[in-house]
Amino acid sequence: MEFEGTIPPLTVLDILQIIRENKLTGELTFYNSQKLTLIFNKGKITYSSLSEEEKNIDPIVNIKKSIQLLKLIKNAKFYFKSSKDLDNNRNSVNLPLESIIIEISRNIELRELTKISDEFIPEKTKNYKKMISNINITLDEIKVLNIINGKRTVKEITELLKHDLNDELKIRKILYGLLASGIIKRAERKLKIDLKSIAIDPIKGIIRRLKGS
Amino acid sequence: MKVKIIVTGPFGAGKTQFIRTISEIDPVLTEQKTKNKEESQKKDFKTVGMDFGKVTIDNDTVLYLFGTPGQDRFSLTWESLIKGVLGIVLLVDSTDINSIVKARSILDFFYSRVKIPYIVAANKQDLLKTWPIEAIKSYLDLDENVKILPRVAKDKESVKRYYLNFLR
Repeated sequence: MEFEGTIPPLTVLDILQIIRENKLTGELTFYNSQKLTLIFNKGKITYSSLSEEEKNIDPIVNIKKSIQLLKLIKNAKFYFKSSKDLDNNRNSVNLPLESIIIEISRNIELRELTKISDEFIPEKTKNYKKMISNINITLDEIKVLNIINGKRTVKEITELLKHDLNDELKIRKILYGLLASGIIKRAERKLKIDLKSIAIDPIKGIIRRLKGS
Repeated sequence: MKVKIIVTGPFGAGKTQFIRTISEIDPVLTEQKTKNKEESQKKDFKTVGMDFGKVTIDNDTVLYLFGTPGQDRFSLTWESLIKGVLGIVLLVDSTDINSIVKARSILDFFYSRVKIPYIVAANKQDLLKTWPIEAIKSYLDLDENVKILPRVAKDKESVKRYYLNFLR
C-alpha cells in the first residue's frame, strides 16, 4: 500500500490510525523543516530515524523522542510505502500504536478536530476493556468513554460532560484519541429498512435488469 | 415500486457523471458555471440544485437517482432530499485527500439522520496517485455494514457492478 498527502487537512493521528487499523508494515516519512522517518511492522512502531545529534543507542529512547516530534507536526508532507522486508537490525522493538495515539491526541489543536463532527455517533469496540488496560488512560478519558453508548452524537456527549470536564475542546480531543486508537468506532447501524422485506421480486428484477442490460 | 437513491459526495467527486452514466433518460441537471477560483481549477460546472436520473427496472420498479450539490452550504438541499430515501451512494475522489476529508462530514450528516443502506464509491481509481481503498475506509471510519467499492463514474459496466452490490 502506498499513500501520500499533506498535514493539514490530515493529522498525524489520521495517518497512525490507518497504519494501526490495517496492520501495515512499511516506512512513513514526514517532510517539513526536517525529515522524520518511522518504520512500522504489522501496525506497530519499530524504528525511527533521528538526526545524528539526537540519535541514541537505545531504539526505545529514539522512538520516544520521535513521539515528541510527532506531537509538533502541524504542517508537513508525508509519504507511506508498504514494504515486505524490513531490516532486521533495525527491528528489535515493536511498540503498539494505541498508547502513542492517545498521548499525541492530548496535544491536538482545535483546527485538527474536523473528524469529530457534531453528528458523529461513536460506540465502544468489543475489546475496549482489554485495550484500555494496556494504556495509561486518564480519569477524564474514562469519563468520556463511559458516556458513549452507540446512540449519542458528539454534540450530545459534549453537552452532557461540559460542566463536569469544563472544556468542550478537551472532550473532543479525547474522542479523537479514543477513535484513532481503536477504543471506539463509528456506531454500527441497525437498519430500519430491510430491502429484502420491501419486495423480493422487484429486487430480483433489478438484478436481472442490470445483469442483462 | 419507486426506489429513491441519493447520490452524494463532495464537489468534484463525480456525482453528475455517475447519474449521466446510468440514467436511461437525459438526466435533469442543475449546473452553473463555477466562479470560485479553487472550484474552477477542478471543473467548469457545479450542481446548484440537484441532479435527477431514472432507471426503469421492470413494469413495477423504477430507480430514481437524486444527485446532491457537493458544497456544505447546500446542506438544506441535502435535508430536503432525505424523505423516503432507500439508499445512499457516497462518492469520493480517490485522488484528492480534501475530497475524502469533506466526504466524512457528508457521511456523518446523512448517517445521523437516516438508517438505510450506504455504499461508498471510491471514484477515479483509474488515475495515478489514488488513495488505497483500505486507507479511505479507515479515514471515514466506516462500520462493517458499509461497503466501499472502487469505481470509475464514466464506466457503465463499473456503475452496473456497483448497483448489483448495493442491491444484494
